[in-house]
Amino acid sequence: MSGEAVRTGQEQPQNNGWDSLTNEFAGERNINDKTGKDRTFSQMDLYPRMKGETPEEYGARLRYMNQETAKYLEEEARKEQEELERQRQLEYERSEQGQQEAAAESNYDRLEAKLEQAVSEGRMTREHANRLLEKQMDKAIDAIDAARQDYSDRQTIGPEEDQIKYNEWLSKHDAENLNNLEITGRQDAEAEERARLEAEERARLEAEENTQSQPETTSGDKEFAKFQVASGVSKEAEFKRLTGEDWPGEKYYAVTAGADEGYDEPIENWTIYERPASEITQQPEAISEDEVFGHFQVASGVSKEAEFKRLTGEDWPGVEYYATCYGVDEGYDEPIENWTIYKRSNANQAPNTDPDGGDKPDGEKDPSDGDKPNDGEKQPGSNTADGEKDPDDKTPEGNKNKVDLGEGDLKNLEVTIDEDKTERLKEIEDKLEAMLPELAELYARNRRIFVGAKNRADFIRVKGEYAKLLDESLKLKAEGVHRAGQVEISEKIQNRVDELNQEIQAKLLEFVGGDPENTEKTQEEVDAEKARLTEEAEKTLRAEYGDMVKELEANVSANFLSNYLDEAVKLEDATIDALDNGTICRKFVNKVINNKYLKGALIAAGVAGLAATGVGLGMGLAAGTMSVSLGYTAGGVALGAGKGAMMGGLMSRQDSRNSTVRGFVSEEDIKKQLEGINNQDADTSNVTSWLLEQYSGANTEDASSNRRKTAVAAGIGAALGGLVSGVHIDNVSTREVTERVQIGTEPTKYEPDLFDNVNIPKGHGMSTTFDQMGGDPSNLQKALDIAHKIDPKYGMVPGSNGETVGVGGQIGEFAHTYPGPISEWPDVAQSYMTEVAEEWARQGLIPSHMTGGEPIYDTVTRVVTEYVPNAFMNFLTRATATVGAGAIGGRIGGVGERPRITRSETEASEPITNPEPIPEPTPGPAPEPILGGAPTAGSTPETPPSTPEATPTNVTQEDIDSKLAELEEAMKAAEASTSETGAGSTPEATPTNVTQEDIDSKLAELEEAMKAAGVEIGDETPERIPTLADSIAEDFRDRAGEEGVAIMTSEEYINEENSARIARWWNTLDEDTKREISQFEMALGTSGYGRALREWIRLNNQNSL
Amino acid sequence: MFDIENNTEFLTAIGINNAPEDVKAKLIAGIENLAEKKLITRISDIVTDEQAEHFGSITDEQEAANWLNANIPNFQDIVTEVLTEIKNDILQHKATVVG
Repeated sequence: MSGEAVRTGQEQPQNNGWDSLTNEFAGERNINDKTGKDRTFSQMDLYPRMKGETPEEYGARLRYMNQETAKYLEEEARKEQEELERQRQLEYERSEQGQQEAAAESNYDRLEAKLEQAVSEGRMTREHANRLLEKQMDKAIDAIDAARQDYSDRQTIGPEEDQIKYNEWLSKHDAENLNNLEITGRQDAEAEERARLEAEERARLEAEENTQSQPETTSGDKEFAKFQVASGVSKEAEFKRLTGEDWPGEKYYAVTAGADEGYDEPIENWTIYERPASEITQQPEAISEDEVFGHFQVASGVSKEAEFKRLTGEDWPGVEYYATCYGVDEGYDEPIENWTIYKRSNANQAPNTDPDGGDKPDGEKDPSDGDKPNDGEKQPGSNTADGEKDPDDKTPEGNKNKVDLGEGDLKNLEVTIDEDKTERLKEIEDKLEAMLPELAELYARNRRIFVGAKNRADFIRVKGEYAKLLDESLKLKAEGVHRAGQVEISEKIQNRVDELNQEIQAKLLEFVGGDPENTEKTQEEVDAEKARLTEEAEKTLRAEYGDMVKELEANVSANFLSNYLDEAVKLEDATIDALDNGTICRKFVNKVINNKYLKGALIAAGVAGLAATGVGLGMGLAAGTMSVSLGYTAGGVALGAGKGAMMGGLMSRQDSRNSTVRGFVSEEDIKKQLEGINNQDADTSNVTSWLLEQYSGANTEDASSNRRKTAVAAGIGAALGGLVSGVHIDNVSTREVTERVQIGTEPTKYEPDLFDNVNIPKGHGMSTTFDQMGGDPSNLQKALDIAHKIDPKYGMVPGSNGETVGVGGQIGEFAHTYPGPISEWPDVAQSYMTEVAEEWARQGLIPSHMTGGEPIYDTVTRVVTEYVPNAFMNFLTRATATVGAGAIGGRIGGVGERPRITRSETEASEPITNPEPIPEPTPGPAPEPILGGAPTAGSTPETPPSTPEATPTNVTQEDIDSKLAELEEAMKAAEASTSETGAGSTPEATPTNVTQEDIDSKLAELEEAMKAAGVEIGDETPERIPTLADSIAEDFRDRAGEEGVAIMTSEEYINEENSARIARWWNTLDEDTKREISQFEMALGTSGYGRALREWIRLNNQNSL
Repeated sequence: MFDIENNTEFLTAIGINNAPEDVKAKLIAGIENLAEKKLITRISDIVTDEQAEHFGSITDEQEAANWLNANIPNFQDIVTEVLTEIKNDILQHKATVVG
């Protein structure tokens, strides 16, 4: 659509105030719309005259709009600036420098507290403390200034200079820190941060070095294997898997063979070569003929002595065993030492191997030692020279000693639970959870073809941070933090330690003759015996511990994998959610997730859980009888408006066969309305009014008033539900629809196992779920439990019809289960529904005043009676809101007619234990094929032959078929008209005076809405080569979602919230995209990107999308 | 398609081939779940609206499998890539975490 077309379409009268108007608002500007055409726009093109508007009125309106636009733009610019400053501040706070500043402030605060304490305790004078504080403050300010300056510099200089400057800053900062030591001591946070930065830098440099200085292949080296790794995959791990050696290898080494760039992420190619035996680093030969006992590796923070002792049971440097280092692997963040343990061939006679020399191993008794006779005199309590008790000793004390057996010395060999680590894990897991949505969003964005540099950079950064934290969390878990298995084993070992200590004590008691207070043994003897027993016990424990270690390791592996899978699935789920924007992906995911056959095809082994979630799309149509009969009418309405909506009518017809109560609307009434619709002058708003009139007279005094109210809601809701069903029903196969109708009519038995462990994604299948539960109140809690597994944020996204309808279905089912007043609903149900209402308000589906904690029944009623008519009028620009509202009404309406809830209010509070049976449906005519899914000759109808169908009571199938055929003709006529005049070429319609032009315009808008909802409109759209504008538009859709498009292409949704939303979106764009959009902004003579963007999107929607 | 349960090489590579049967079964289910999600998002980037629509109407597992093989270019390669991606990711994290 061009500006010329717009003006031509208006046929403005001349010389009647128009000239001056044209002059006032001309401001013509040329716009290159990237299609190669220069076009001319004026203010009057952008805001066309409404039908019947005088020049004065039109001029006043344009001036008013200019005034409002100026205000808006001013406010927008202010908010933009605020948002920009906030973002900058936030970015700074997140930056290394920002964290340095925070650390400096924190250090100052801590010192201040410490000095205050010292002063209050009289350990320091106030003057002294103040001097120290002043000094520290100067340093803190310097550090903050330096951090800010550095941050500022880093925003303007290139990466290399940036790094140099940063290193300088780091060195300087280090020096300052050293100077500060005597005053503040090293502050932990600062030191940790610096260590972290240094480690990162070291790792980066090592990685670079590693990449740049690949070992060259030596001529003659044999190629051993090839492998590929992509981003996030470790070449070291792959190398080790293939060769069994740690990177960079000894017998083998790897050489890069370039990278494949043709993928989303570059894939590195590596070749592994085998060195000739002569070149392999020789391990130190074992001393003499000593046997190799084993190998171990240690890295920084791990003691070789401890590892040696763990494996051999001996203290370093060992007696029977000894260890030699045979090299250090430098290819890691921290060097890893490789050690070999040898067992001496003749340990008993082995010379002392302690490199430092020293005594003989402990425990050997020197024969020369011993008690010497005391000049031949007998001393009380002394022994003979050979150590034996002197039988002649008759001193009062005899040879009895008092010894101390002490406590058992055997200690637990297992790790202990570390509270700090537990806290750390909690902290990390919180961070991971917080990062997940951002990472998933970036992940989703980076899947697109059009990926901005900022997106890419953000993705790499966040992904790196996430992976690092994830590794740390997994590592902590593997160490036993928060893991029952490890605690269990630790406790098991501790129990065994206790037992062995008790055994030692018993043996010692025996050793001293049963009485430590009066024994012949000396304390030294007791201690020696105790040491010996302890050593024995430790060996015993170690032998048993070996099995436990295996168990522990098995648990570590299994738990690691389990933890890893949990986290990985979380990320995938979040990514799928992030992709949830109505694209093909969305549709495909829906279909596969909810179809057990397809899942079975994807995963041969099958995962039963998700297959049971059912399908949520279009569940409002399975609502029941009242919504059916009215949905039929609405279907007719819809049919007059567009092709997609015909599906709604057909669906309604399908449902109508199950109708059992149709008392509210006569066949004549329906026919009358349909005839009105066939007349293309009909105003759809009249249908709404008519429906309201029909039901406003319902008796609200009787016992079933709630039902009557519900019926009113249903009247509107079903109309809308039927109308919009055409938008989304294309996503549902005939068979699925039929099944849903069946489910809605004859609830299947609830199968607990089917849902107990189901992780239901988003809003899918809730209606099915409730229906499958049979509406049994006893299952309500179970249903709620399942419902609560759904994140309301996703369950009610209005941009995706399925979810919204699914939520509507939920409410309907609640009403079904609890037909009485909301006050009699279970608390949990009320609470849940309130949450739903609040979320709707947040999404802009209902006014915020409807969420004041009022009963959900009233809320829903108000939604459909107060808001829906308005929504109906705005349907074409706000289809999604209508979907939700229609679904609500449809569901409740359908529920309202189910025999089982025909109860008085006094009965309503009683639990439903034996619901009335559903009447046996009367067999009816064979189901009609759904449009687009008509069976071909000889093919099997999609609807199973056994489908029970009820005969409609008021409207015959022939009537319906006839009317639908007429309506289809009308729709075709409307389409033909559209093609002649050009979509969107007409001025905006007024609600009360609908013309042919209005209908054409609405048709065009409906098609846009249908496109936005992913509905296929026809084959007439020629295939075209995507342009940059397409990519940007796609990118926009990707970010803003369908709702965002709707919002930004609609005048009435310029508000604070949406402006902020645009601002957020804008800030995610790279500079090229911003420039692209800004061209339109400038061309349109506006300074706010929001408006320009809106217009730009409008143009792109018309021209390319 | 890909039968993880009997893919000894894969199970060995990720270190659970000799795990107790119940543990192994649980972990395999987890891997399948993860693989499924990755595969769905991968394929969803490939299919058109019409293909998605058609695929959604299939109600037979074998038919669905045949359709995937016939309509998704290099489908088996994609499956292999997904599994390899998971395997490498597991090995990478495992090497970092449990050595």
